[in-house]
Parts: sequence; C-alpha cells; structure tokens
Amino acid sequence: MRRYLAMLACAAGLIGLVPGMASARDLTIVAWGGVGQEAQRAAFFEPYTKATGMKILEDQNPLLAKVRSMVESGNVTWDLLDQESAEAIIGCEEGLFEKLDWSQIDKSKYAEHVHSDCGYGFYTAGNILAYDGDRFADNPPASWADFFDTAKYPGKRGLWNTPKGALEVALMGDGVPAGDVYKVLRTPEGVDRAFAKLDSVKKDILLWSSGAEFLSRLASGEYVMTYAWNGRIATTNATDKKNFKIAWDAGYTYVTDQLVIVKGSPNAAQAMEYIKFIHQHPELQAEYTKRTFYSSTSLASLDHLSDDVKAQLPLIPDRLQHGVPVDDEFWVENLDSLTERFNTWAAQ
Amino acid sequence: MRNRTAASLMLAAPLFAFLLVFYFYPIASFLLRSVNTAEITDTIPATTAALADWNGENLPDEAVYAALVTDLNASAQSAAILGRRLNALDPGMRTVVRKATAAARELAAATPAEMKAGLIEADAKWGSHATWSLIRHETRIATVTFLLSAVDVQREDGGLEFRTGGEALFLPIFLRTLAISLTVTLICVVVGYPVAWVIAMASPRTAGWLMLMVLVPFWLSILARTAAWIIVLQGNGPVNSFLMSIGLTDGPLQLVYNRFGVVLVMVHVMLPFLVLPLTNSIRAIPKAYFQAAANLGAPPVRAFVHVIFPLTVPGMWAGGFIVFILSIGYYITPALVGGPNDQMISSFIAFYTNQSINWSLASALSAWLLGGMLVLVMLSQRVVAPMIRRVT
Repeated sequence: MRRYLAMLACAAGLIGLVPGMASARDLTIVAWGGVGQEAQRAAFFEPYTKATGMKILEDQNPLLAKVRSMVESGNVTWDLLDQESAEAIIGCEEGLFEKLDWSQIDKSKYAEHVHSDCGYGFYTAGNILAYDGDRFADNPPASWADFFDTAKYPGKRGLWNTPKGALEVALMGDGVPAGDVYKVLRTPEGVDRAFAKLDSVKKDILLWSSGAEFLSRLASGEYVMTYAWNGRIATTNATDKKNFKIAWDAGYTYVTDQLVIVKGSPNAAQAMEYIKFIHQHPELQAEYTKRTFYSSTSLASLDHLSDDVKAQLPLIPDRLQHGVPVDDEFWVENLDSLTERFNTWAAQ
Repeated sequence: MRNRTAASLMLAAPLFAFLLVFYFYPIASFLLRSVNTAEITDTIPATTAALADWNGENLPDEAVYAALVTDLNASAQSAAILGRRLNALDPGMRTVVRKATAAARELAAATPAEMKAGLIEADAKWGSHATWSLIRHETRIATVTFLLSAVDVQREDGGLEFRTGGEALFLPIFLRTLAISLTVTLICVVVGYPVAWVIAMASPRTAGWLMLMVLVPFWLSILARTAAWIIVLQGNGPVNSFLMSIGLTDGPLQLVYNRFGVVLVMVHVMLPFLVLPLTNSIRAIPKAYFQAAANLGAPPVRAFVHVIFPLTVPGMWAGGFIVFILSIGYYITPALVGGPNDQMISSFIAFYTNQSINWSLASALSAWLLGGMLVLVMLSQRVVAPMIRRVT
C-alpha cells in the first residue's frame, strides 16, 4: 500500500512539474504543414535562429478548438499560430489570443487591411478557379459560369467543404461581379440565390477537405476543374511538372493569414520579437513568396521578386480588379448559421 | 478467501484507477457539456441572477437590462463567448450580442431605463420576449436544448417540434450511420464466413498462410489501405481501365466518393474482425461431430445446416457484433472515400468539436451515439446471447 501511495505521489509530482517545464520550452510556432510550413521554415525559422540563436519548435494544425482547450485548461503548449483572418478575429474576441503591441510595428509599408487587433498579416492567398491545362487546350474554362456549366464541361468539379468560398463563387457563377458578392450575400435572397446555384450542379460537385485532396483529384482527372488555393497550384506546377492553370480573370477571393500569439503563452515576448524580425526583413518575406506563390503583405518584398514570380501572385495591381478580399466581418457573423445550412445541403 | 479477493482487488486497483482517471472521467466530463450551462452563466452572472426573478410574461425589468450592461462591460471576452453560445441556439444572435456589447460601452453610466431603451435600440431582438426566454432557459441549472437539437428537435413558441423535410440534419445521419453499419456487417458475414471456414478446415500449414493473408492487411495502416483503394477505384484507375478495355462500359464508372466506395472499403477494413473470432469458433467444433452426423446418415449439406452451422452462430454473432460496433463509430474511411451524403455521425462530432467549436452539440451527439451503443450491447447480452445459447 505504501508503495502505491509513493507511486501516486510520484505521479502527482510529475503532473505538477509539467507547467514548470512548459515555461522552459523553446518558442513553438504552429502552421498548417505541407509546402507552406516548409517555406516558413526556410524563409523565417532558420534565418531567425541563425540571427538570434533562439531555437524554434514546430507543430502542425493550429485548430481554434485546440487553442481553446489549451487556454481553458491553462496548459498552453503553443506560442505563435498561423490563422486565417476570420479565425484570428474570432479568437481575439473570445480572448484566446494576445492583443499585439502595434506601437512596436510600423504598418505604413504594408498593404491595407491585412492586420487585425491580435493578428499580424503575413501572407495572402488567392482562392481561384483551377484546371488542368493539358486537358483543355482549345476551350479552357474562363469564368465561374463555366464552372457551373455541366453541359459544356461535363465531369466532377471540386469545392471546399465549407460555405466560405462556395457561396461567393456560386454568386460569381450566377453573374454577380466579384466586387458585389458580399453586398448580395448580406441579403437573405442572396444566400438563397447562392444555394440555388450550387443546387443546380449538386450531383457533379465533389467537396474536398484539404489541399492534397484537390491536387490529387485534379492530377488524376477526377476533377475537370476546382476551387483551389493559388499557391498549391503554382508550387505543384513547379515541383511536379504539371500544367495546371488558374483562371484569374474569372474572379477570385483572397484571404490573409495572420500570426497570433496564444493567450497566456510563456513566450509571448519572444513571439513578438519573432514578428518584429519578420517585419524588418522584406527579403525573407520575398523568399517565402518564391516558395509558396502567396503574396507577402510587405510591399517592399516585391522589389526582391522576379516578374515571373510576380505574375503568379494574387495581389498584383492589374489583377486586383478581378479579386475581392474575403469579408471577415460577414463570415465572423454568419459562419455558424451558414455552415449548418451548408452541411444540411451537402448531407442530403 | 476474503483475503484473497481483497488482494486481487488490490492488484487490480491501479487498473481501476487508470480507467477512472483516463477513461471514465474525461468521457463523463465531455458528455456533461451537452447539458452544462456554466459556460453561459459564468459569462453573465449578474444577468443570470436578475433573470431568476423574472416572471417570464412581459419583458424583463429594467434591472435585468442593467445587469446585462454590467456583465457585457465587465469582459469583452465573456460577451464574445455569450454571442457564440447563443448563436449556436439561434443563428444571428452573435450579431445581436455584438451590437449590445458596443451599445453597453456607451450606456455604462446611464440610468436603467435608458439602458433598456438603448439595448432595444441597438437591436430590436432585445425587446423581444423570445430572446429573453431563450437566455433564461439557457441560464438554468441544466439545459436539454443540445440533446434535443442533436435529434432534430427544436423549441418553437414554447412547444417542441421536429425539424422536418429539408431542415432535418442529424436524424437522417444517425439512420444513415445505422444503415451503412448494418450493410457492412451483413456483407462481412457473407464474405467472411467461407473464408473462416476454409481457414479452419485447412491443414495447419495452409491455414497459417491463409491467416497471414487476412492479418497482413489488418496490420497495415487504415489510412494507407483507404488511399490505395482510392487509387484503384478512381475514374482512370486500374479497375475502370480494365472494365473499359473489355468493353463492359463506355465511360468510367463512379466507384469511389460514393456509398459504394464507402461500403467496399469498410468491408475490407472490417473483415479481419469477423474472420478471426469466427475461425476460432469453427475450429473449436470437435471433428467427431462431423463423423457422428455422417454416421447417422446425414448428407454433408444436412450435417452442415443442422449440426455445424448452429455451432458457429456464437462466433458469427461475436464477430458481426464487433464489426457493427466499430462501423457505427467509424470516421476515416467515409471521410476519405465518401461524398458529402455518405458521412457518418462521427464526422459531424469531429466537425462540431474541431471546426465549429460547438462542444455542447458535439457532446450531445456523442451522448446519443454512446447511449445507442450501450443499449445495443445490453440487448446483445441480455436478449440475443441467451437465444443463441438455447439454439446451440
């Protein structure tokens, strides 16, 4: 019996030690894996360690749910996360992220509307219409109307398994100009109109849940075309010698990923130093862009890029007329109810 | 004797402690989230207290509005959590709470009457009886709202109503989960029985090899097996190429990302769970029974149907039951090879846990799933097992 008690005491002691150990760990940065995380490692993590001697630990899939359970239980093992802007705002409002000290950062050299209270915007991705160029040499799809035209382009088309994106392109496919999409979506009739458009091609839609999924389905010919992230398309062309094309002129939405610091992180100060480090080195941001084909938020980084790379980015001046920023306010307010409707729609 | 029992209990104590701490406690605490209202009462303590005195007929007193303003001003974070939780119950409430939070900042020094007017001006919903009865309902000790909405029941004007037609989400999915699991189980029994029979009857050497063929896929990662099936079944995969080359079909058949693919891959994944117990139960039948049946003049078919088959029923039931239970909670295969209308209930639990962070609803769905499973296990133990014993 005494032995059991001793073991129990030992175990209790170990559990008690964990928070103490947590504060002694290295700065832990969490991104979404894949090409993006590799590019962050090469462009930011390694130069940062080299310049400051500070080590960086990595983890993957910074789901808001996991952050919430960490913050609630007081056992914070992540420091710096990569979040899409809407999640950065939601998490900030719910007190899951630290408010950033903007006095330490000069926003003037940056694109507008890329940062939020808790989030330092560091790259922008385009949500675009992609297809295999080898398949459509003569009559490539050029608009979202083509995406919904199953007579002209028979076969499965890919959409992300979330209303965010699907509803926007449904409206563009129904003739709404990119710039007016959110104005229409803010009305109940607009939402109905988007769902009606999705309904019209329902049996030909195959939803994807990850970048790897749309890439492999596009490569295998399962998809004739798909809604996709521009960086995954461009990097696959570069590394796997594919001839995937992006119909930029069809209209696209773009979204900025932001770096946020987890509330109660023992390394909050160091995380801020890391953000400042990225901020002060546009050439590193350019390096990240070269590896991912996502636009850096730093305008100065454009000076370090070739025209060839610039031609593939979502945020270049003569392309922006076709693009519209994802309306974070709209999605923060409506994501839950529209997701429920989308799930019900998809499940039937 | 008593000492012995005590000693063996002592030896098993760490196991019990382990189960309690790492199994039952987390499950129970997660399931409690489906009825727990602490999330909301903690965010608006003053309003909760003030609402306790509300008679529930007209609009609440100005004191309740004043309490809400106090609560909203106390913590912006609480306001956000309140908004999320109410939004899960009544879509649009996130916006209503946000407007109230903004208004509350202006109203901090106002009189209670001004606070009431100010909040209603910020959003008309604060002047609606329904909003307040929702809040009062969700600030009681416990709520059944999530347990009800997990089976598509919602509150309408004080009464309970089933969501109908295009609105219903979860009941069709529970039924679908049940249907897929039953299909998979039946196919596994039909396909696995002969395999188990052959393995049990074969010479030890052959049986060893056959068993290995069942076990090797069993040891492979489910993810790898599922991905392999996708490659085999996809539009330009080997199966479709073969079918087209022999002229059986003109274009590629849709073999994956639909119900057919889900059932096929799940049968492949689940088959070993049936074959293993069934093989053992067939092996356990004494060879003398076969000879006895033959000596008494039964032709092989009759001997099988009347003597051997009933003896294999317990093994078949055990294997089939394992397959069925595992299938009901299945997640990864439907997620990868199914379309949106092939997703099973666990994928919705995962969705509400990870993506939408509606843990109360996730917990309510889990509670129904767990409850249903327990009922099935009990039925199997109490009703079916004695029946099988009687038959054999």
